[in-house]
Amino acid sequence: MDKKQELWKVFSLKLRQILMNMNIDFERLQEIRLRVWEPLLVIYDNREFFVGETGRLSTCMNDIYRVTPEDIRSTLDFISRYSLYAYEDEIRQGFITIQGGHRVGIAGKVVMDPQGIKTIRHIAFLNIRLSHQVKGCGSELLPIVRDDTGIRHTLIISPPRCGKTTLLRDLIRLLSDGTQDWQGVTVGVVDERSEIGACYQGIPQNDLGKRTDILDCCPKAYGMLMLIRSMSPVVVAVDEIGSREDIEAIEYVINAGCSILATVHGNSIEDIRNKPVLRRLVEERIFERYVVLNNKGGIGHIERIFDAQGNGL
Amino acid sequence: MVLMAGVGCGMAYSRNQRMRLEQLRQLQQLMLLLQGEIQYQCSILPEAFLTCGNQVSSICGRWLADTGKRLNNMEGIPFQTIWEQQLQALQKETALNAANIEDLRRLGNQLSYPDKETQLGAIQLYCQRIKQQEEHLTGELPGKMKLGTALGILSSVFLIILLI
Repeated sequence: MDKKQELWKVFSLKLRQILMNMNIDFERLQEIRLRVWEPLLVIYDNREFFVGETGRLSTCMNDIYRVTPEDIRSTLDFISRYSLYAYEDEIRQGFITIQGGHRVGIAGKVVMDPQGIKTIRHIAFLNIRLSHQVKGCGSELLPIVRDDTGIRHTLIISPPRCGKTTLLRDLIRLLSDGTQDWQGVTVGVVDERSEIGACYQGIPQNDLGKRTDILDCCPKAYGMLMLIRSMSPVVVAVDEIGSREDIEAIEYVINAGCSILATVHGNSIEDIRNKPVLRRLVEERIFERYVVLNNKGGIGHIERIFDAQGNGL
Repeated sequence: MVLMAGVGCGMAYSRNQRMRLEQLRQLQQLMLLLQGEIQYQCSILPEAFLTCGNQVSSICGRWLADTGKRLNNMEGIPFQTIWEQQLQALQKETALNAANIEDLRRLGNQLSYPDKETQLGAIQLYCQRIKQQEEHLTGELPGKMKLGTALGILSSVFLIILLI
C-alpha cells in the first residue's frame, strides 16, 4: 500500500472519500486540519485551502465541508487503532505519531493532576502534519557537516514547518550510506517521536541508510546514552532538543568521541542564546556548525550557516 | 432407532455443556493474556488481540485473532460494529449461550474507552464473571450430563410407548 492510501485510512469514511477525491500532488500536501463544525482545511504548497465535499480545493467559503464531531471521533479511533489508552504519554505531549511518521497534533479539554497534564479529553481539533522524505535535500549541506577533519557537531535551527526533520533525515542517510569516495559511518538515531525513521513494528519506513541503528520511541536523553554504550555509533542524531537532560546527554556524547547531529526550534542563533537551557550550547561552543533554515525559498531553504564562534560561512 | 436417537440427543446436550465449560476457560485464558498485553506491553487492541488469539489455539483464540485482523484492516467501521459482527460469528460456532455472548458484548462496549485503567478494569470484571459462571457450571456439569442422558433415554422410551 502506498503512503497516500495508508494515510487516508486514518480518516473517517466521509473524510476519506473527500480527501481521496482531491486532485493534488501528494508530495506537496503539508497539513490537514480538522476542527469541529469548522471547514476542512489543507496546507498545500505552502498555501491554505478549504476542501469541498467533492474534494475541490478553494480559497473561498462557497464550497466547503464542515467537519463533524463524528468525523473527529472516528478519525481518532483509526489514528489510535481503537486504542487511545496506548498513547497516554503522547497525548500528554499533545500529539501522536502515526504509521508513515506523520504527526497528529491534538487539542481539546486538558485534564490536569498535581504532576502536570494528565490527558486531553473532548478532543475537537486535529492537525495532521505530513512527513515526506526528500532524498538528496541534504547533499548541499554535506560538505559543511563532513570535511577532512571528520564529522562536525551540527545543530539545525529552524521554525516549525521549515523542514528541519526532513533535512536531518537526509543527512543521516547520506552519512550512513557514504559515497564512492568515502565510506559511510555508523549513525545512531534516537527517534523519540518516530518522525525520523517512521518505524512501524521496529522497521523504519524511511530510508535512513545502511549503517543506521534506531532507538524508536525512546526519550532522547536516555537513548543517546544507551546508543553510546551499546551500538558504538560514530554519529548520534536527535530531533528537537530542548531539555536540560538533552543538553547533558549531548555533552556525554561529545565527550565519548562521537559527533552529534541535532535540530532545535528557533529562528536564529540569537534565539538559542536567549533560551536559558540552550544558551550553554552556544556559549561553550559545543556545536561547530549552526545551520539556520527558513521556508522563504521553499521548505528546507538554508538561510545561513555559522561556525562555532557564530561567524557566517 | 428411536431409543438410539434419544440417547444421542442426551449425549449431544451433555457434550454441549462440556464444550461450553471448555470455551469459558479459553475465554478466561485469553482475557488474562490480553490484560498482560495491555498492562505491560502497552499494545494497541488489534495487536493485542492478534498476539493473544494466536497463543491460544482454540475456537475462541481464532475468533479473537480474526477480530484483531479486522481491526488492523482499518475498514472504516467503528469498533463496536466490528465487535458485534464478530460476536454473531462466535455465537454460531461455539457452545456459548446468550448470557455469555451478552457478557462479551458488555466487555466490547467498555474496551473502546480511551484510558488504560478502564480497559483493565473491564477485563478484570469480565474475568470475575467468567470465573463465577465456570464455577457454577463445573458444579452443575456432572448432574447436567446425567440429566441430559437420562432425559434422552426417557423421552425416547416415552416416544416408543406412544408409537406402540
